[in-house]
Amino acid sequence: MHSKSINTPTLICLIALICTNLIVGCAAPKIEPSTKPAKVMIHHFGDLSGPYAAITASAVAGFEDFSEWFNAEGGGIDGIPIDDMFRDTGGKLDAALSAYAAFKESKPYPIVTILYGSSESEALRERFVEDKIFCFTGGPSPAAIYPPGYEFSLVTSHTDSIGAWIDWVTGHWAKKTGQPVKLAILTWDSAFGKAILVPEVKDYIKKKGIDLVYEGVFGVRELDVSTQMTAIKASGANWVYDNTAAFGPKVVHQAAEAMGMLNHDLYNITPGLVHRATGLVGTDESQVNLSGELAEGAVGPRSYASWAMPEVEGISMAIAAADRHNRDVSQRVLSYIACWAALYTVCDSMNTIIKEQGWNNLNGEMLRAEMLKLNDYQPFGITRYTFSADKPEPRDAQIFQVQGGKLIPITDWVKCPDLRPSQYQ
Amino acid sequence: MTELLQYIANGFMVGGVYALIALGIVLIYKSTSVFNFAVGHMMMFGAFFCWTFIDAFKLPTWLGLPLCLIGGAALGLLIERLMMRPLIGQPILSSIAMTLVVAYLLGGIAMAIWGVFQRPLPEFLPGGTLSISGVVFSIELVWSFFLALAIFGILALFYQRTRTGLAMRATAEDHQVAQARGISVRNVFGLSWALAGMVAVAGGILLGYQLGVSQYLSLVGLRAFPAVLLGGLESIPGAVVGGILVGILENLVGGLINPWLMDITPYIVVLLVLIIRPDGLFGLKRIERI
Repeated sequence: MHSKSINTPTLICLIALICTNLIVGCAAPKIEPSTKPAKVMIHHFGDLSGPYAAITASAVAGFEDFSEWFNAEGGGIDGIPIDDMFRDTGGKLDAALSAYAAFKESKPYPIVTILYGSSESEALRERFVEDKIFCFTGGPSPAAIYPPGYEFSLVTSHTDSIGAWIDWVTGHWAKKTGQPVKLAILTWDSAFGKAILVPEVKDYIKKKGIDLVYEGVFGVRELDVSTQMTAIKASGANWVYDNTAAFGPKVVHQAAEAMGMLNHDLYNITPGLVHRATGLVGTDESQVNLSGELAEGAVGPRSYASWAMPEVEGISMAIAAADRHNRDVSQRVLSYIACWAALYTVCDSMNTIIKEQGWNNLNGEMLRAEMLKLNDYQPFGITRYTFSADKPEPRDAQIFQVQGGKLIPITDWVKCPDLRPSQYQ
Repeated sequence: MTELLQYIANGFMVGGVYALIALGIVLIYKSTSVFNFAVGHMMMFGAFFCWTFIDAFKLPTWLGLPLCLIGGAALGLLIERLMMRPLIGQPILSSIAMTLVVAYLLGGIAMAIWGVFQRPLPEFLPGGTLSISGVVFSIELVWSFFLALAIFGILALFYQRTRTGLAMRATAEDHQVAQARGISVRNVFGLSWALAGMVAVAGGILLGYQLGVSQYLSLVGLRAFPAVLLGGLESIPGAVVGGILVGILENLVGGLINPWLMDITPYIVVLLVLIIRPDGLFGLKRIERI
């Protein structure tokens, strides 16, 4: 049988037709998506299966509850609901980098993300600057937010926080008791724990007339710090400050109690006893829950209202939301509250951009610019955000004390001293 | 002088906990030649069992604690039957790698069941401190120390005075010879894992009491590795001595030299000891005749 074949001119025409279609198709102008999206996606990633899972889990719970409230009662972003996309990094840097790579490719182009850990915040700092994506981070590491870029801290830094405590202990406690402050710093042997062992803090301690009599660390897996506490006893310290979280303060409280040194009464100046202070992250309901009576009387700086302050509008809203979702005590902690405040601030800023400049101008660059305008901004009274181009972190805190198992403020809002890395001051 | 004694006392107390964890590793290695990397996660399960029975289910302590031990034995048996037994006859590296898999599996299961939040254990041990000539002892750590000694004593009696213990010692020497003598090697493996599970649970409860119950507890298991290597992988007395030695050394270094060195001291000591005695202080030197 004689088979038919395509003759040459027909073949040439066919190829030309295909090529023309391809060229025209690629060159065709992209159809612009509707400027008002169906939802506004807010991305967040953090450790939900590794060492910091407890902190992140509470923040994620806060995110979910806030989103539900904001979409139902808060009006959304110009009427558009927010939605979240979370990625678990397991506390691993490579997972965080992979999560970022995926996040950056999401459609529409991301505007904002929230991070919860210091290490991923540091690792992704430059990426956010290059990609012009705004990031609000719960990891207040100087390496993450300095030099100032697109990452803003949603808590006061560890250094500024201890600075606020130093101001209180010298300006109030030392004056009331007539005692000089003899400080022992005993903290985690990690980047987080040692964030306060920097020259800026030590210089400030010296400047305020505090005698730093002991400086030591203990491992995150340490069972007992009685050895360090023995040395602290020998040093004559009357305050022990740690920059740890969750069970870290408990380990120190226990050792002080075991050595018969733990002083629960703030104005008791019996020699040989120590008062306890914890850092920003340790001044948290989870620490109080874990430590129980051991934590009574301990003080610490904190830049958010506590769950024991229902008179604060944002706290009563958070309590109502947490009750609706049956959140247990382990979820009603600092990170839940911080997430509410941070999200509301971001959403409010987005609404402002849309109102003044339209949806087309809603991007990371504009969001950053809007956030820089915040000066003593108080999202439902939960916290105070003031940001500037040279200091993208809050600068107000209160000193809290554990009283009856609750965190109660013992000062009004105070301005933290500026203890940023000296090259950025 | 009081400070020196205090550092030594601290070391004894903490060393007791290391010894407890190390016992769990040695029990399995002695019978099966497998280094159990999942010991930390088994301890974590123990702490979660305790929280579940006593706090969540509100069982009385006298019932909850024995149930925890039964749970630990069951956990050990399950691991042996489902994960380790299929690897009998395979290269030993497969079994060791399987314990790593078990560790990750237990971590995931714990997260799925109990979530990621930290919880305190209810206080069922008498708290407070004991002071002897100016040296202060934390009651909770005293309990850990004496519990480790008690478990060591019970295990020593078990291995020396019971037929089952003798069978386990025979299996540890040579699986084939033991089998030839009619000893069920598989049953011995199961029993080893069950015992190790109970010891791990006991350790986990004490650790959970100190640190609270959370995923973190699994990391504490790593602190016992220097104790095991120092004492000898096959020696139960070695586990106890190794644990206490590690505890004392790290506390002495931390107190007298620099607290920043506490974490690495055990590893430096192990390195030095293994150079001189590769089998550990009490480990058995194996001589193979060709």
